Amino acid sequence: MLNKAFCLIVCFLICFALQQLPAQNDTLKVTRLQTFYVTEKKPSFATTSRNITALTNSEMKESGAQTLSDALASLPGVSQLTTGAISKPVIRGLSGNRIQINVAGLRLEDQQWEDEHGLGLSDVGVERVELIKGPAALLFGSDAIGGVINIIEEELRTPNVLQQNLNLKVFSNTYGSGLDYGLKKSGLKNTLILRAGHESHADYSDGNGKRVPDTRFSLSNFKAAYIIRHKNWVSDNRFLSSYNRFGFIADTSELRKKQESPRLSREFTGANHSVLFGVFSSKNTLTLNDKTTLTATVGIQTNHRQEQERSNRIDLDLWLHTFNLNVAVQRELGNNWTWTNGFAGMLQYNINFGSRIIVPDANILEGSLFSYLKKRQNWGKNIGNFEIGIRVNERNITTLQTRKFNLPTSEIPPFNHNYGSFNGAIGQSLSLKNFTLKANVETGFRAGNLAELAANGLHEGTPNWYVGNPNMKVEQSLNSELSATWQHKKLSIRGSAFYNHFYNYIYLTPTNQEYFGFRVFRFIQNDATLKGFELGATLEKNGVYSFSADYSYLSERLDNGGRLPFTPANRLLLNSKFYLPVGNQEQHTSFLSLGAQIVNAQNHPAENETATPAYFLLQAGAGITLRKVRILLTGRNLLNEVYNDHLSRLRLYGVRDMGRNIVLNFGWQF
Amino acid sequence: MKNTLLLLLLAFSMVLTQGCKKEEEAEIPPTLELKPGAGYTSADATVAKGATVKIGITAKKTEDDLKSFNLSYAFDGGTATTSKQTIDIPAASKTQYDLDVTIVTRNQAGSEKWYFTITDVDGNIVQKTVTLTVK
Repeated sequence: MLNKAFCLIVCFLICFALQQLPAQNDTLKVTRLQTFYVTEKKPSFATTSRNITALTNSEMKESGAQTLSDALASLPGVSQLTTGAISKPVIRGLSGNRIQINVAGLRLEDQQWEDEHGLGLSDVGVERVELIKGPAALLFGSDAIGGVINIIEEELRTPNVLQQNLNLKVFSNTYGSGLDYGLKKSGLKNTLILRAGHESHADYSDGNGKRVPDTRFSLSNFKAAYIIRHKNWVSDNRFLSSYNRFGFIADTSELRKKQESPRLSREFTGANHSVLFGVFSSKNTLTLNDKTTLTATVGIQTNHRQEQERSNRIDLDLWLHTFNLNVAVQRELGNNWTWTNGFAGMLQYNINFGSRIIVPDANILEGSLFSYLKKRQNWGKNIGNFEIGIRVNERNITTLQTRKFNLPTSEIPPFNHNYGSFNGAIGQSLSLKNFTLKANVETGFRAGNLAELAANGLHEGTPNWYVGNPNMKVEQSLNSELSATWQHKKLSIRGSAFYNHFYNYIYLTPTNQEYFGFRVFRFIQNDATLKGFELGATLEKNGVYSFSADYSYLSERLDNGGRLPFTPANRLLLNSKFYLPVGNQEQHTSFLSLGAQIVNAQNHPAENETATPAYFLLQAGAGITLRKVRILLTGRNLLNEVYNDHLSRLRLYGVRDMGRNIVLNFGWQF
Repeated sequence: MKNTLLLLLLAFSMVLTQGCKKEEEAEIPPTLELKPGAGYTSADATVAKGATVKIGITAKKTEDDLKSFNLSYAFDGGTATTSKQTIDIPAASKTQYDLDVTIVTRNQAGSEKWYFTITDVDGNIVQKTVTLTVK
């Protein structure tokens, strides 16, 4: 705690000194990627001290990714934890409850405590994804300890317009296909957006052409938005729903048996997971006067997860209901200071209906207050931003007796605990002529999740018995980050280095105990450190060519010398894109792209893990936009590499990752 | 447009309400029986010091394959059990498992409570006990 306080004080003093310089207005730089086909916003985030990047819908489609997590994994420092088709994003080695994912302005709650509970979202109806690396508890609260993923839904900003579009995608490896249709209609003061889509995939094949049974999946989406714009009031109302099904390998013996079933089968006859998700959110922004705005987001979300594994009926049946309320008041104080104060509340119910209980029924109540100051600075042509803030948070978890799972006489009886936390952030960004420098120190926190606090049962798909500990302390992180970008003509060089120290990091460790033949693992706490850097360069001539190279390095250690599981291997990403002249360049665009991933071996596995060798993936693409039609063709793993990423959970079964996959995206705007 | 929104809200509320009314499903652990018949002890009994007692078990799967058998004991009214033996059930017996256990009681008077536990691969546990009063 002393270290934390010391760092905060030093940064505060440095930044306070910078405040003495004169200040002027500054704006958030937004790059508009405009083609006749689509206009996309891609903020550059030069005016914040945090490390933020954005990925647009077009970029996701160009990557040929099957899911949103897959698309995000194309960014430096981001990877994905996979269980076949099930995947969840990993930011600098952290995932699950250490990443906060926001959908329609609400924190996504989808039983993310489990490795095999994937994100289950696709790019359908998503305008862009904004990704914050490192903790951001000040603005986002609990769970924003390793990073934040903000999923920005599509919009229509032009009044009196009717737009429709149809997107088709085809995947060669999984014999998969997807179709989605969207309608956007705007009046002078309101906008209606509707979108529905469905996609279905058979099992994937690895680089040897060997099929991996029960990796099939399907995603169905329905989204609606109704946006009202008045002079002093904007109301953005969203309803999002999805129904996803994923095949699941519960037993290695199934791998041999199911090789014989029809190759194109999409039926979920064996082990499978299904998730019905729905969210309604209403974000209202009121301009109270020329200096004050109030933003209130209220929402309700439901997540119904059913898992059928070894038997012929549903074993795990969990229903999670979450209510959220976020309120923030932003006020211009003069002299370029902006002061934001807010409150965030969450009420959550977890209910079991299935025969298998992994976590008990529980009620969770969380509330937090935050105060955040930002000052825009200008020294001649140089721009700066100073940010500082604090947040106090309190979470109450009450577990309820759930049949025989947590009897009062059991090792983990029902409990009622409070988990409090105090967090802060301080940062400075400087934009000089062709040089941007950012420094940020921020904390993140989370209370243990229901599995870590209250598990007392067999872990799905393994012979391991997990036992939680309701007396865990709050996990807290203190991250220091320095990043810089230098641009000279066509060349830009960027880099960021981070040092993220965790107090009371929660992790799972094997014990020497057995419970009736099951090996007992316990959740315990220890301090840990994750540190690393991302370094990259781009050579770009706008509309002609671009070459980029990005290297991500991560090192992690528990303070007791141990290693953390599922730590991504270091990776070099190479990308190039060449734009080709096609007729009228205002309406037509075309490109060719070539990229590669060079992934190092991961030779520092955790206890009970094995090392994974290095691998190389080659990717190429081509795209053409002809007025209202866009066609994208992407080849992934073109060399059909037989490999395992260290974050593939199926490698424990000797299952390899996906082989060559040719992806066709077709879009029609009308 | 307002009607559309109301319909969506209504649909969402119905989904939530439906969830709250759902019936719970009961756990179905494997079955475990103590073998009756000549030569077997299948109920609490009083025996001599150092007696040899044969107890047979028959376990059958219900939904999931059988995983392991465990034999534990607690002496003289104690609550803590001591594990004596755990057997991983072989592949050929995943559906039905038969085992005869031979217990030799202590050479002292007291009570011996023996626990016979079967688990299936889904973590379901079924247990039977036999208390031997040694005189």
